[in-house]
Amino acid sequence: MSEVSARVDAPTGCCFTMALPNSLVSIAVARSVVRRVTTFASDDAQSSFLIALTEVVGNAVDEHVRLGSVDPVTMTVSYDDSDTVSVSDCGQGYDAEPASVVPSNPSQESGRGLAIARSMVPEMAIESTGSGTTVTLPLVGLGIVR
Amino acid sequence: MNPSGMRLELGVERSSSRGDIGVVGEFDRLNIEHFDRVSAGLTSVLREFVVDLRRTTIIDSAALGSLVRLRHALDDVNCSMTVIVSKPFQETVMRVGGLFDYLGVVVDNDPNTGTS
Repeated sequence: MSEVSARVDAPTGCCFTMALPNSLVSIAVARSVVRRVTTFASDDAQSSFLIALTEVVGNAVDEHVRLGSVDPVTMTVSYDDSDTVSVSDCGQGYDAEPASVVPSNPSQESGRGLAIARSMVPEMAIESTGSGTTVTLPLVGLGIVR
Repeated sequence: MNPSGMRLELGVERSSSRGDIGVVGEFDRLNIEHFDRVSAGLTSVLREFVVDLRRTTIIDSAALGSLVRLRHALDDVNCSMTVIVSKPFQETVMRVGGLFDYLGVVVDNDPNTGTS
């Protein structure tokens, strides 16, 4: 099943990068890897971080599927000066500010993902251009990569 | 627990037309089809529906969308809805999602509940 096999590069320096398939299984793969290499401060911290990661990986995969991209989404775990998890896509980018606003009508079914991710990991950083988006989730205060 | 990390626990009290559904583990976009299918099968004969999320470890925006769909379905049959949470992250997701009042969220602060 090539779809569920993620390529993990050999560790170089203080980070490693994974190529994630353009499938929702990437959410489970990303969460499993981060859970495996991270010691979280508490169960609640783990849930919070993994929810943010779920939203970010899901958005990246959705964007690649929407564009029909064959490039993988990538996830980089850094553990040098600061421990972070970054997720990058090759999509068309978006304006992070309006995308982070919760729909005013609560009966709307979608549109809450980035706002929830930001509430779970307030230091989340988004760099978005017309050729891709990288979302960085710092682990500070939530856990450390061991 | 199914392979993707979620288990549903169902209970229906026919005498009071109350239905309970407990979600255990990861309630996210990998699992919502299962939740949608099971909850849809319970709504037609009920007057009160309780969704217990205290033992979830993940609730994402897709799960919130699933709860909103359930609320729509319950409105159509005049059935009330209550969502129970207990952990800080669960409460935050509901508040940030703007769904605390809309879904009838109740916070259970008893530390002895909500543990798996």
